[in-house]
Amino acid sequence: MTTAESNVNNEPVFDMDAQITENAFNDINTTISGNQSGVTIEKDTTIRTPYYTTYPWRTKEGDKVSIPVPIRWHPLVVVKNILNHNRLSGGYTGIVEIGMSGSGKTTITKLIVHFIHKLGENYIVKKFSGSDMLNIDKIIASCVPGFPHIIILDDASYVLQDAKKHDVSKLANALTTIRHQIKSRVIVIMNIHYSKAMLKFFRNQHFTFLVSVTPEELGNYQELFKSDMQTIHEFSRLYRSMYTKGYFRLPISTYDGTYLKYRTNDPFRICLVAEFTDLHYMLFPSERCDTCDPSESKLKIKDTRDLVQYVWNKWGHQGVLATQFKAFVDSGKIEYLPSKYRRIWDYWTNVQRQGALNWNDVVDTSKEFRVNNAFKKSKTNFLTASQKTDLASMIDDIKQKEDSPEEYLLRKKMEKLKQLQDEINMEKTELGLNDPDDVLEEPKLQTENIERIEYGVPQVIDETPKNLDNDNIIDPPKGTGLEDTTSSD
Amino acid sequence: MYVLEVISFMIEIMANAWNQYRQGLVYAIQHSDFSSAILYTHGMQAMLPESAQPKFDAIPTISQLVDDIMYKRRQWDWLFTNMPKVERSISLWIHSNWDRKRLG
Repeated sequence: MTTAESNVNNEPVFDMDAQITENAFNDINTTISGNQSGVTIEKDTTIRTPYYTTYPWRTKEGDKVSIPVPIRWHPLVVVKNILNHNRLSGGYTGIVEIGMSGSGKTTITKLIVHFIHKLGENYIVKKFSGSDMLNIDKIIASCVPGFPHIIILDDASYVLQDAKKHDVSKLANALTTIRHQIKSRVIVIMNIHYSKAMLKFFRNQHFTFLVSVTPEELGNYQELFKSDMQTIHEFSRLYRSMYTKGYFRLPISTYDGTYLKYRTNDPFRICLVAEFTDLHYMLFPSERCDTCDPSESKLKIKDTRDLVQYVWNKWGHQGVLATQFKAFVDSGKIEYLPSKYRRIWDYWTNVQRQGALNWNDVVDTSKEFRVNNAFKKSKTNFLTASQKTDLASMIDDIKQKEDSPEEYLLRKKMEKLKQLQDEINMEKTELGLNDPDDVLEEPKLQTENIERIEYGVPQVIDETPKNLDNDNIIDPPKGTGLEDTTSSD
Repeated sequence: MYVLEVISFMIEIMANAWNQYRQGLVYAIQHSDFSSAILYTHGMQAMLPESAQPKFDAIPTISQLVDDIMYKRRQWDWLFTNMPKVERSISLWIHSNWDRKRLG
């Protein structure tokens, strides 16, 4: 056995003399699924997969309908491919939209932005006119580092026609390094009216939308898509039908002679899209929402204070903080965040620059940290003294309940009894139903005497019996020394 | 689309084999060799991708004397029902591939 290469454990990587056995397929499958190498064996189901799906739509009358659409023509599939490319390629995805005025370039741009938003991605959308391309430094400066961006360069036709060579090369260089400067993923959408209205380097992007076709363009497309001219010619036919007859149709089955007929703008138009070198049709409706296209929003928010008050009342401090984050994510202005959170943001941005970050792992680990440290943190930092006492007594209760349940029950009963007694006494006091015997008056009198003594108030205490008259007083016998000497006689 | 280009090319290659089977089928039927005709029909079916293959009825077999007497008749009935099935499947498969190509 000849081992051509070995890994670190000196296990054969592949065997030059190995024979294919009957169970080779199963062996390979087991090996691949076991080592999690990113390689899997799949069975091609292209032929079996039904190639139609439905597009949910609300009619002008407000009814919900499902419109049949070939899967490859569905705009969501294209947008997902754009996102996947942006995620996996290294962070830069270029899109060029070529079409005459009014053919639907802006509609497609809005649709892409809307679908990206619907898919839950938080890209900051920056829209510039084509002439701004020459000020690429300003465009980059207006972006927020560490945050994914969609940069739209509308009407970029002939902008670079009269530009100096230096400016053009500077722009070309900036576009190739923009993801490094923004330190995040970037999607650049360039809209032009004519395929040759832009230099070759700039229109050389991974995704190209062909929105209209004219005799002049047909010649240009011939150069670009030599092997796919059949599709281009078919598109010419559909494009003409769409704008002259008001409908276009596509075959369901030429065997049965069945077709799908779409009315123009109800809700779709049709265009061609070249994903890398794969040229195919795409249907696009006019779809947007106030969130991703606030410029056309008819809803005006009047009282911001009420809105924030609602958040404060319902979610408190955390709600307001989350509001600040939402403002940051939507506007891209990092100064909306408290400084501590800005530092955390910068920290993760720098980490991300060093390599691909698995956010699933980061979130899972973060959750783990929160669960493990929640009690410790709250005990040390957030509990007041009385809360700590309550917590300690609760812990004692639990301990006693476990150690000696009988004593615990007895103590609880005694506590309840005492509590009841207290309540009864309180109610009696309120209703004036106190028992007279319970009123201690003597100590009150005593207190008065004590006060008199303390303050030394002179007072003659008359100890003469009140029921005796002076007439009835019997004089003491004479000679006893007890005679009244004050008498006048 | 590259895959569909390949499929179109494959259809051309496969057409040769199908034609060979068809010639054999015609010759066999003309000479009442229905067993061979059934075999060629199965060959034509096997050339289609699994998802596009038609489902055939059970092939006539002999288990008793009566079956032997009716064998030729049952074989002809089988061919009359199932041979068009395979031709229809081939046509449908080519049409659907062409439709997919037109869809881009």
